Amino acid sequence: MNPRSRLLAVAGVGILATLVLIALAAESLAPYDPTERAGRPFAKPSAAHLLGTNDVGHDLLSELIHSTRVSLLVGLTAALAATVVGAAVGVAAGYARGWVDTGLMRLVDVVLALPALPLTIVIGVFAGPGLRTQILVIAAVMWAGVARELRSQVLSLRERDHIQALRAMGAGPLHVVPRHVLPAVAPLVVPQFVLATKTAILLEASLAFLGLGDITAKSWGTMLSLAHARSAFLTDAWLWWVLPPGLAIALTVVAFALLGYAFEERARPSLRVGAAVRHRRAGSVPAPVTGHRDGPPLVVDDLSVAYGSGDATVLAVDRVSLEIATGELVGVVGESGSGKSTVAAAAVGLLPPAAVITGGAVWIEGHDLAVLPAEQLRRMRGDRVALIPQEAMSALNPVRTIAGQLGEAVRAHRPIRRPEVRRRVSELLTLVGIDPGRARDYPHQLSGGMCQRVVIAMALANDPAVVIADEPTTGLDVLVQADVLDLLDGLRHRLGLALLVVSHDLPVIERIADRIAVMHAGRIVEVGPAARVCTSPEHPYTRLLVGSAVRLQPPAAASVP
Amino acid sequence: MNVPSGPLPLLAVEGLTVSFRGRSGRVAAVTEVDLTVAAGETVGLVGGSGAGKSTVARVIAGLVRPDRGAIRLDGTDLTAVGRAEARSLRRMLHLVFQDPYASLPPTLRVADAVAEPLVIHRIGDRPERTQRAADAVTAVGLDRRHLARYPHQLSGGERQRVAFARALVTEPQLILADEPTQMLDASLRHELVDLISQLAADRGLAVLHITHDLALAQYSCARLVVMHQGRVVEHGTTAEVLGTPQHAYTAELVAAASSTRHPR
Repeated sequence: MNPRSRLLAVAGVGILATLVLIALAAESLAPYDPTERAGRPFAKPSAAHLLGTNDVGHDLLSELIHSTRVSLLVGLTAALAATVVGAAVGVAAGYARGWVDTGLMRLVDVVLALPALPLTIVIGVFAGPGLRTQILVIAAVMWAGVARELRSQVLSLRERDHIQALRAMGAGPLHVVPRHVLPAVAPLVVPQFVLATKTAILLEASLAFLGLGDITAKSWGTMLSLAHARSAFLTDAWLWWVLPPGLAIALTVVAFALLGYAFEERARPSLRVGAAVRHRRAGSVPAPVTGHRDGPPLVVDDLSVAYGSGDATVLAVDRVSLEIATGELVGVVGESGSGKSTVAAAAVGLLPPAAVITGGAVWIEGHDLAVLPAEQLRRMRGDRVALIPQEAMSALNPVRTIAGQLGEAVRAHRPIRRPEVRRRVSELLTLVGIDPGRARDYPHQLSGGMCQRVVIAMALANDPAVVIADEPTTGLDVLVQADVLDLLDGLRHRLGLALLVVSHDLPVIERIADRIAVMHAGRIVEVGPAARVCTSPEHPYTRLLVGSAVRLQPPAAASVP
Repeated sequence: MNVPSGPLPLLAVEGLTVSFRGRSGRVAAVTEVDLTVAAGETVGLVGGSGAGKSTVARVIAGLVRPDRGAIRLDGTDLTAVGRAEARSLRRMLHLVFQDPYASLPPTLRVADAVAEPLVIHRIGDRPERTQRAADAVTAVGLDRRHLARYPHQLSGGERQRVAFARALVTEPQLILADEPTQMLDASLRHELVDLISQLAADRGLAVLHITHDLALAQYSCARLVVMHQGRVVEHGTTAEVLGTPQHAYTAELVAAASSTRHPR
């Protein structure tokens, strides 16, 4: 939580704590009994009566203090009832699905479609005034929102592996829901409850103002209602009769809102505002564009990248150097956490916000990415250096045709005419082995392998010199994997690409790479020709990797133990 | 019951057909699948993605309802008995999921996650459950120190071991392992497969190992069943299937797995 949200949350808690204390200690705080005649009617504020008196001579300050109790009580009780009912309906609908879900959610739709205030008034008039009516009415219009919110959470939670695993163990809903579903949705219920309380207090005030409150247990709304009935709005009396309860309502609502949003922010990390993004090298002096221009298109020179700051710094990449020549394919192999993906991200200038280059440089065709101004870096990306991301399916926009997305990639770096774009799109599709006749298809109409080909075509749209592929075959079928790798292999020969392929799978990369760099704990422990690294590894870690790769034995040697 | 000969298999799937609701009617995911696993035997169910391997496992575990077919566990057809009886019969088997990062409850400590099947089936009291969970955790090669940790404090390999400890705690006779090594680093795959083989040998467990990795299947399975587009296209001993593949798809899989470097 950032300091600003924390401050707002503390303010909310402070206001609420004060209100609760006032409500609890009303008897001792109030100077008079609010039901006793304490002075003459319609008295103006004085030392004896700080807020004056009402039409029958009750002390208004004492009334205000005692009303805190009723307002909070009705608000909290109604919100609690609404949250409990809503949570029960939402969890039941989301977990049971099928007809239970359909039935309950149609009911929710109906309640949500009805306008809340007129509905509360209609029900209130039928049920007659009183605290119980107020609570009933408020809960009845508010549970549906909670139910809808929780149902969607439970629906997605139910499909998670750990819930499925429990069901596979034979656990019924009576075991899964209380032990695993409720604790998981509880962090979402809390902000729902707090925000519901806010609305409930407002609704209570409205209902009471309309005369549906309990005359014997006055709330702030009832005070306003009486003030209105006694024409306080027409005289100076509104200053001490109308303003204080109005302010009390506003203050309470603000406090609950502050608290609710603080809870909501905690439950949903995505609401947090990200820290300012800085990829620049820490304490760097702009280096001149150097004589690397005629050298290899991709040079990683003594690169170090750290995550976090201060004491929590983790060095993800530790003094890594690597060069890739035109037409060369280098595989970077390592296990999770070895820093291989960070090297790939640094090579396209797309490090995550938390990462800082602490030393060294990445040169693309003689430009140091770490000191390039943001605008120039953006222009290089996709043009001179392109990324083939993991998970092709999620890298494509599901609602646009592949022709549209390829065309966008083509137009991103140079203004060209429509027929020219169309020609280039079919050229690219042919290049990656897709029939140009399928250009109008949407991603979901293509297989996983074809999507990966489209993503490769997008990377090639502007004839880049350097292509970085981060685990390009993850999630693909074995047979398709081989095809995609062969395609990449063929393309770098035909187009003269400097191709860096990151993979955790040594046998996969061994087939196509010229050289293999093995990464472990942020360092390159061994780099050399692919055949040499795989047949006679020098570093112990490489030996472990090569040794543990399970390979298919030739049929003759295949024997069943 | 028309099981041909030999001892009654522990698991016999017969004519299993499953379809899912698609945009234009129902889409067949699994068609007329037959397979058997005998007690103490490790069978590999191999095939590409979308072949229907995982669906078969999910039907056996009771997560998906089949359209047709029988699932005989120790001779009793699970699709023919009532829900409660099927549930208690399924105590004989346990499904281990692919992704150890997602399959363990994030809010439970290892000790509680491992004891969960005992709680579900109301077996034993608290001290007994704790004891059995500790035993299971030791059996999969983890330390007792791990018992007090949360899943997010464990590595992928350790989590998958916890998943297997949870599989052992009710002492099932059959373990369905759905690509258990898929999410692990290469150096850990070997170890985990060795662990599965060792557990199977020590406890006489039957294992249905679902994988797309033929090399891994060759390493650990006695028999293979090959699936393609929802159907079983080939089955036999591992040596037969990989040595002399009869079906074109199997031959392609074998070729893809055994090619190392291309001639250029």
